[in-house]
Amino acid sequence: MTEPNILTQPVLALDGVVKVFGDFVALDKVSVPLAAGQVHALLGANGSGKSTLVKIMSGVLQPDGGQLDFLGTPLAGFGSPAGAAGRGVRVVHQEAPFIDSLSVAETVAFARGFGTPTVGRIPWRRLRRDVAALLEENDVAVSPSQLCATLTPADRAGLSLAIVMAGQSAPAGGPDAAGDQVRLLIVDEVTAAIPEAEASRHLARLRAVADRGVAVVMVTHRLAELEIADDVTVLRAGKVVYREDGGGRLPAAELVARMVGPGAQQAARRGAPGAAPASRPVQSLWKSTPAVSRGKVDQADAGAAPASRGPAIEASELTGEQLSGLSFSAVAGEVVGFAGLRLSGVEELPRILAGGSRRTGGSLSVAGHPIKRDAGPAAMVAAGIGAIPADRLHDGGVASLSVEENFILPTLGAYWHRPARRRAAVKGVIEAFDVRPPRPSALFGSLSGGNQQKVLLGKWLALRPAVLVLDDPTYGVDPAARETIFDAIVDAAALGISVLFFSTEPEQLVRVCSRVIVLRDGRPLTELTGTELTLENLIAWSYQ
Amino acid sequence: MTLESTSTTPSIPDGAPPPAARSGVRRGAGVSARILRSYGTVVLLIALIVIFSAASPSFLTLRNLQNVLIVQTVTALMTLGVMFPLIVGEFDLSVGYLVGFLAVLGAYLSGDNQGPVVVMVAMIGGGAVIGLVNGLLNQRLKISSFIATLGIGIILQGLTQGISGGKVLFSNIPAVVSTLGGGYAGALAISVWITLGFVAVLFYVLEHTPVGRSWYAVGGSERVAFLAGIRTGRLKIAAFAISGLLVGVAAVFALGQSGSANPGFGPDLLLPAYASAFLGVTTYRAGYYNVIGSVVGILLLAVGFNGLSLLGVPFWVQPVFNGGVLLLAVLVARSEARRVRVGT
Repeated sequence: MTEPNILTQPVLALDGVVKVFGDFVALDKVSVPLAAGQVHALLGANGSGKSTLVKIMSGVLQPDGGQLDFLGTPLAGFGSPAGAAGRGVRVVHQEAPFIDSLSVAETVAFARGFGTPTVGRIPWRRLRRDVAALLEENDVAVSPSQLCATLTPADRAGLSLAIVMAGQSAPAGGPDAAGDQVRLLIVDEVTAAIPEAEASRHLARLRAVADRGVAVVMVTHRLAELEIADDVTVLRAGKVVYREDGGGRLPAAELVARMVGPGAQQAARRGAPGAAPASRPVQSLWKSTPAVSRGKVDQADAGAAPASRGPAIEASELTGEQLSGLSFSAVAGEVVGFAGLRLSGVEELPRILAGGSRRTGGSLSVAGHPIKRDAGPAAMVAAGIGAIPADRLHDGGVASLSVEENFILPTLGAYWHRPARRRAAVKGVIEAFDVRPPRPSALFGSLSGGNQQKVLLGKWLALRPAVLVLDDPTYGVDPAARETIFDAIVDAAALGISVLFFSTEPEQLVRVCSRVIVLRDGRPLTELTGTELTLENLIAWSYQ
Repeated sequence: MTLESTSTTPSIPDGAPPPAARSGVRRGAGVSARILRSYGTVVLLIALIVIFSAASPSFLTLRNLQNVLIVQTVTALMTLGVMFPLIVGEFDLSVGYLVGFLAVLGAYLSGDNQGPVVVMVAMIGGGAVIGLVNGLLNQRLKISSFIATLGIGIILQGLTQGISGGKVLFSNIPAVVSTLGGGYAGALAISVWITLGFVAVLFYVLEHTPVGRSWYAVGGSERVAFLAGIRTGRLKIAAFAISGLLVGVAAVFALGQSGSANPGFGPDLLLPAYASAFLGVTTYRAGYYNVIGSVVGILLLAVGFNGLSLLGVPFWVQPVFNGGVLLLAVLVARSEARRVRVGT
């Protein structure tokens, strides 16, 4: 795509880089050359070592072995982020940190300087003119006087790139001081938050940056974006499993197969749907806690066949900030997975089902009972939906209250002045889910992530919900607790609960779901079920 | 909330002149609604002046207007004072007790035959030092500003009683202090001129200098500002110190205007100062605490107070009027003010 570069040596060459955390080898002799004027795509599943590699390239982490060759100078590592920045390494992160109440011009000025002493007069006209020129140069269509709060994710990505590239208009190798010249730009999944249609504009900006002679590293999840990349590196389990330096391009399906690797398929499929879970936490919970269901829905008895009344939950033409006409239904005893990139609706749908956000249109019913559009969390709970949010401490539990108080929060009335009943119920949750420490009086906030999640699961499952919504339930959860959560999902489904499972990890979806709906732009893109529901297929559909 | 259309997209001027004139040319229908939202308090102020002028012959007289302004200098400086902690996202609840304490301190030093320089330096410098202590408690010892400034305020209340012995101090107030507070230079009182000087300087600093914009950045998101390399701790401490300094000047005017210091004076001024600052959020730069808006807020409450007094309404109507105006202004400006906090 670009002419062969005049520089014969790469800007940065990683040579046999090793990074170890305790016993865990995050990077195992990784060698990657990053050439000037090239866009280098870095691919890999979660946990493949991508982030560690980016941190080493940006100076946040130092390698435990191997070396970095920066423009021919061998280094053991950059030493610090400042050390990397001093050599011309710049990073654009996924979440661009802007202050919503400031204008675009001020945001640029805080990063680049106001061009005046602290108490001097700000040259507003010149500042706005310079910022307008900078935005123009980087093809960012926002006004300097616009508030950052009004920027779209695509504009934010463009603005952060423009800030990084400010003052770089001179051709590479020009009169700029060496430290000021950007040599290596690392772009960390910036397009993940951008709707597909707008992403191509951002990719064109990256291409333009590379054409100025900068080496660009693009961490991405979207295989379609590889179009603009010159080189590709695929990481798996800390090793480079595939590298492509220009030339031909492997088809997307082949790249996915290399990301996933052999054997992962069987491993992911180990706890296939229908298989008996290792433990039955929900059944034991229901035996020990009284039924305090607030729902109108009759619960299927333990082990009973799923009700034949029709779908447990049915949504039709749901619309919202991200959703645009999403319809789906799930029957009792079914585990339905939802996958998708950011802004596809996978963040909004669970919030709507929990009653935290309002839908703007469409209909929703649980066990045939319609739910009003302005239904809040209380109405959702009453209708039979139990929802565990992604942000555990913010939306899920009250950190400053005890495990017991958190548990009885949705059912305060049922336990009012019934201490014996309450103690028995809380004890039931702690035993059923193996909550540690097993003290009802322990503060929720002092528990580990996994144990917090167990308490929240117990809190909602004790209500015998018709529908259980789980939004990334294993985020920040240790492996043992993760297994308990999977057991609980399978057990809950066996007991007739309809489980809607949202996860950022395809392995988990393949493992516990009987079908997975992939969302895109607020609508179902495809639905994978039966033999189609494989890790490769899911990754290919989600990331394409 | 979603943005309705481009015609209502806030193009907040970065300190530039208000966009009302420009938008009047470019935009048609939304103009009156827009003016009402950003300048509703100004419209209300003008309406009140017209109504009171018609209703009472003594309202629109030089003497009455001079009186309105001079009475407001203390509140105005306190409003500017509370604005700084508000801009950086903190509260200063000590200002009411502080103004009372400093007035009593000044009167006590006067009674002790100290010269005017010592008296004024002690009052203004003392205010700055106590503001600094507030800031250090908040930023270095990590006490919530609400609690830290309340604690300092209660301590000051005790000290006020201790210094004054619970009595009104009035002996030997320096002539310079009285002149500064109540003397006239031309059509306006000296204290009004000085207050206008502070308004101009603070407007310039807040709207047109990097340090002023940094204060707003800290208030917008302390963490992002910190990560952008702004020394957020120092800026916040400075905001508290400036607050104390302005309260010190207010105390000098209060002492000079009344010629005495009452140990019960001060706490009653806390709520009007905050009310004016909150009213200011609805004007000029909607959604931000700003100098121009605060001045309009002070004048609105002052004219309301004065006009209603002249009309002879019962005393209890005043607070009802003030609270009602505050709520009404915030309601009218709500959409504009809220937009600032909207993410994408």
